[in-house]
Amino acid sequence: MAAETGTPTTLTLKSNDDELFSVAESAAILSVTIRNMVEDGCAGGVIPLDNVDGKTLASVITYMNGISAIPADEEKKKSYRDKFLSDKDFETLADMVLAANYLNMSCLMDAVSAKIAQVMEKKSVGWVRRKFGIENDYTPEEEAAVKEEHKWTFEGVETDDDN
Amino acid sequence: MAAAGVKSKDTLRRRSRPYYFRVCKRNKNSQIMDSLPDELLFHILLQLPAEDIPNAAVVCRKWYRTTRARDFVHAHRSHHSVSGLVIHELTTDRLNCHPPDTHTHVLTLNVDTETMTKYTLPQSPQGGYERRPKFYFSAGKSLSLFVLASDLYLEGWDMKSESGEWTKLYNIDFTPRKCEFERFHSDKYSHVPFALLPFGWIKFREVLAFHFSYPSSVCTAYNLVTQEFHFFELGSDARYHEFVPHTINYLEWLST
Repeated sequence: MAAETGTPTTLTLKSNDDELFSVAESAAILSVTIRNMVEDGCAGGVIPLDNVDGKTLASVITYMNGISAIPADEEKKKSYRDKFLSDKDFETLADMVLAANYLNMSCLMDAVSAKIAQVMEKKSVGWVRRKFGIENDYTPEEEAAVKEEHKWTFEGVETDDDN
Repeated sequence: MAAAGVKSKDTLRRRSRPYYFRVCKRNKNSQIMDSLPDELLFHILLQLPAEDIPNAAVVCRKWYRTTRARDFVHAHRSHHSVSGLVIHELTTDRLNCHPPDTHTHVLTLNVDTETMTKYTLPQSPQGGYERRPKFYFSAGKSLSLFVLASDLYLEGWDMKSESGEWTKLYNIDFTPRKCEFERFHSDKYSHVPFALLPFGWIKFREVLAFHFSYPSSVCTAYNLVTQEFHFFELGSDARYHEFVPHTINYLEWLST
């Protein structure tokens, strides 16, 4: 059924809120999910990406184009990723990690996860709970017990007293 | 009956919503972290440096389960393996304290840059480090050195790899507490002099792990600040092995 007339060089991606994006196939196949579709010959028309909204997809495509324009130089790619993520707020990062997971883009997923993790580095438990809105579901006794378990473990050189 | 039917249908519909739908519909910043699927939370926590993991476990039950899972422990260890290697002259038998450790320098290899650096060892104010057993523990950008000055007395130094400068930070004297160890002696070794040999940081600059110089599966974690001992036992097959972690294996402790 699939037409074997050579793959198109530009793909059209559709977000779950029906926005259409054109992207070079060479950049789009950074996503293993898309690459599989291309290889299976089902990327001829519009590729629907049901798990990604337009705003996030636009961002991901910017990343795809940016990173694929960089030759194989891991240092430069890393600095591009750092710069790309530097102005993203937390909500955008969460959307991107979901999108990266769905699109199976490990380099983006690692970078975004690291960026989210960076936010909580060296922060107190209370700060992390407040920042991420996580409910403390321990009883006071349990929490004390968990802390006690850590008495003998590595907690790093600096103690976090900042808040 | 009918009402119950409607209710269960509604529940079913809600439960069958995929993740993305819930995520897109959220309107509060505060629900972001909770709305992430487990495998993404796993992936994010994996990026945390080792020293932040204990705190993460205190955040909530889900984070505790995630960070204490064996899979996580192994994944974290391979993800964060320290890219540094300490090379030093090996003594023939670490368990026997007598073959002299005569080396005066230590070489480090930065695996990322493939740079080898030679550092001069610190000198004891009293002299005599040359012939004493030495233990090195790499801790990211610094290197700890412990010199067994006598069987139950250690001096500890830290070196900053940028400058190669040694700072003496620890004097650990177990002599007055010798009786605390005697209950771990089997008859076979009761008359043999013994030493406590460090084998790694459990908590950097605070808790150091030791084993006895005679074969024993009992180890101790010694808190340098509170001077408390915490004795623990490894499996019986551990007693004839030497413990020389090349990275900070504290997470292994959590998994056992």
